[in-house]
Amino acid sequence: MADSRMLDAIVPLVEQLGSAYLRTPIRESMTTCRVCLTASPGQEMCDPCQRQYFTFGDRLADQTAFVIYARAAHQTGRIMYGYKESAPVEEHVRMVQLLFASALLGHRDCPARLAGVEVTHWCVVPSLKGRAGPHPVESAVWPFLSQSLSKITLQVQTTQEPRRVRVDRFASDVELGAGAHVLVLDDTWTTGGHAQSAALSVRAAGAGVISVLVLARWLDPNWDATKHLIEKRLNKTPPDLRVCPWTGGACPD
Amino acid sequence: MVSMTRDEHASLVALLQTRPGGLTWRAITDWVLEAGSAADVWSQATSGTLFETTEESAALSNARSDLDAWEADGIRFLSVLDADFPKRVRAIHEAPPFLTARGSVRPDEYAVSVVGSRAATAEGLGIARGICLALAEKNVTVIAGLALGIDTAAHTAALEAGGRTIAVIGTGIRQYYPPANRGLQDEIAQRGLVLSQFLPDAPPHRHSFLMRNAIMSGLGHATVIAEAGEKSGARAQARMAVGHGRPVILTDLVASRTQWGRDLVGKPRVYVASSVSEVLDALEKTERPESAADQLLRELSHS
Repeated sequence: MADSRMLDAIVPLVEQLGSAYLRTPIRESMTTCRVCLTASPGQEMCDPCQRQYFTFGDRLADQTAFVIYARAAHQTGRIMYGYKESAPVEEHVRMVQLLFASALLGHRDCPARLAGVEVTHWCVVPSLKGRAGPHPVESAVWPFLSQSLSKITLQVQTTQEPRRVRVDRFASDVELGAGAHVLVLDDTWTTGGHAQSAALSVRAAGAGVISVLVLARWLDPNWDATKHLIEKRLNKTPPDLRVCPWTGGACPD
Repeated sequence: MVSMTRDEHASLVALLQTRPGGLTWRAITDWVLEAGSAADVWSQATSGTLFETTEESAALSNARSDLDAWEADGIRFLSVLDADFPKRVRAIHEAPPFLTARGSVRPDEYAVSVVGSRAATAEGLGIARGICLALAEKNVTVIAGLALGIDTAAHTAALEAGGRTIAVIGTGIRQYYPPANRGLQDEIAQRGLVLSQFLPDAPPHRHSFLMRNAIMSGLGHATVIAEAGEKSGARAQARMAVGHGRPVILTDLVASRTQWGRDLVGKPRVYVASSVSEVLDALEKTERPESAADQLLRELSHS
């Protein structure tokens, strides 16, 4: 269920500042992938997600949510880099925080309702680039996460094949019980390699339910199907910033 | 610190002049922004390529002597990573790898673009002039593109009122285009600021004026379109400003007499103004969502 009081406060400001360029994801069977929401005409899942499921099955994330689409040569793409540069761009930090706030506060209970299990833990997907200082995703999300949730820290175990989903990519610092529902947070999803590797490590630690919330699904218009989705759908519909990032429509009851 | 900046600038210029691996300026800019250092990118981009060490150092020493010559000519070179690089220009996806400047650089100033057609009517010129006199009065810096018509009227009015104006030009900073505005460009360099995103000797090019419009949209807190036809650079700037999430203020001339102007009305952050005071009112409104958002984010933290 949406917290409409929160959305009433946040959404009008996001609309003012960004609805001219922001695009909200489409979750539509046989149009977009049900895992990662990239274009997937005629298929429930895109090819990379299908391959990941073939290999890792139910150990991957149980449910995924995306707040916006982003792409290169577009303001959304610039924001996803600019907010975490060594001197962060102030207006990009503001937008990233607003979007995380809308998902984490406006749709706080949605992952639990969808799974039937309360969220108990959260973690961010570590950077493979060994950046110094606080993790930019963590800085952006922590103000909006309930302090009753426990934080899990994932350690990078290997940086080989950086885009691939690997069980040995990260390791959790704690063991979890089967009742644990972990919210995994990241800023961008390109192939899912990072977020799904994080899901595997949290599963290995014992988590029963894994929900992945990613701010932006990165689109590559060099793919015809993606280009088509951008031109025929995204460029023609104004963003709906109240749409539930977990369902792509109304919030779960 | 000074020599570190020098190394950074030389590496950036060398990257742009040699484009190792066929990298575009866009790709180089993105890489430099992500790495946070042009010198790091230079060493990564040239390691393991066909570049011989001697060629590498020749490229760097060429870049250094260019930078020296520009500096001797009174041109300031600002890398996109420099603290003095205008923050709002760094925010847009067309952020250039560098800007060259003549005049005084104020990286965080409140400025508004006032742009429009070269083929302006007396009415349009009068409107642009009125707006810029009022902006100068309020100590708002006027940005324009040094083109004939509306741009020239905007710069001139700002200067006349003793205000500050910035010319973002579509050529290298050693060039004068259009030639008729040579004197104006020099005066703005003395009393305000001339900015260019091109290498200092770059001639005018068909695409360079559109690239310049993107910088103006980024630099300004808002874009005011004083008068424009169906097909003009000002129209392109309006579209870009919307794409950057920047406010656009159309005069009623534009909002009523062009199809694209009518189509923009009602879009987020697009305002229509039929008088100078309405332009000023719209500018005041444009700042509210940012401060309201910052306030809300503070309140929402661990609510």
